[in-house]
Amino acid sequence: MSCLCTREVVFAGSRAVIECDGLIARRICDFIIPPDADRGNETTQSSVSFFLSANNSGNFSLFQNDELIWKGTDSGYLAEKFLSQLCWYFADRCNNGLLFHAGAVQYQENCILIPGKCGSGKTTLISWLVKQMGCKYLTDELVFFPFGKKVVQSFHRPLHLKKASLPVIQPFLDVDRIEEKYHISCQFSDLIAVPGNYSGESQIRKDTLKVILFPQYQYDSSVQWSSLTAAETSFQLMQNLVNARNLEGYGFSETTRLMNKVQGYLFTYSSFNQIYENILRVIHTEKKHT
Amino acid sequence: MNLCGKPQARSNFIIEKIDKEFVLFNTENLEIMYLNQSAALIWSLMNGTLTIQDMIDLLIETYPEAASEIRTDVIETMQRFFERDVIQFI
Repeated sequence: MSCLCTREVVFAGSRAVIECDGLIARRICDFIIPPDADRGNETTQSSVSFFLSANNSGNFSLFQNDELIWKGTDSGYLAEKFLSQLCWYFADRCNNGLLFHAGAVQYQENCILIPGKCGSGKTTLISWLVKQMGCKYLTDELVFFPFGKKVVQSFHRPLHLKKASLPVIQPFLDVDRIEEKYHISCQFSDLIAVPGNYSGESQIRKDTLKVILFPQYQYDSSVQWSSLTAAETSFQLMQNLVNARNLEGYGFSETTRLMNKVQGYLFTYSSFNQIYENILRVIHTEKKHT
Repeated sequence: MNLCGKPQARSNFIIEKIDKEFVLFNTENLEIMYLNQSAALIWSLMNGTLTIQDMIDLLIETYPEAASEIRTDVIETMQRFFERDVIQFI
């Protein structure tokens, strides 16, 4: 068995080494962890290995630390499974900072955090912010605030759009017309690479975080927009702290300390027209007092 | 609700005060609660020596202009605390 490529990615204190064999497996690996992606050079506390394999008969396998965790014939499912295992591993082991289930984009110098549970519409909103509002894509899944450091790490990965969200983003992102090299269609979702943003710039300054958006997409709903107090923002954010059980005091005090210069907004919407004006206003927001 | 009961916060909470509001984290069931200003004020009166009626009287004395809402606010807040197992009566 010949290994066609090896990738290494460091995030939230863990290192993942990915090897793959077979052209399709390599394509998936290149797509999720591009050759020019930031490897990170920090010291890590744990490491994991993944092995993606594809043979000529169209059979795929995924191994984690030499243990077979999936095999099948759907390359899209292999991509989804690998990505979810990778994210799960980072969350499971992380104990040296706050790791949030959250997306993030950058607008000019400022970072906008977008926490939310699965199905809240994080990726849908992020797609719109990137395509229509000129934001820079950082991540749609995990954001890490290491203890004692002035930086925030975002976990680069392709946009992970659920099939159900495609009609919502269709007006500005026609998934069917995206070039194959930027797109993997899976059973329940689509993975879409955001070109040009794998430059290794996965760390941003913590003090650039100014705004936290808590979106809730709800079909056919009217818009409800709330500006949150610091305590309300903290309450919402805490619910998206995925490594709380690994942290002393469940990371509760550290999470509330993030609220110093940050303004949170909670909103329900069914179309981007409903939130356009508010988003435009808040992405220029800077909280004036600490 | 018995207004003569003396409510006391259970010990299994981590409390963070942010501005004039509180966020509580229950270390047993990992639930998070948000307390707005008035609920935070009521929380801070629960020291195990004041009855609910004492708390109502104290708040009315301090905020006479809000007297008509205070009784309902305190009872509803206590009810909420009790339902979520945040307090015990001693």
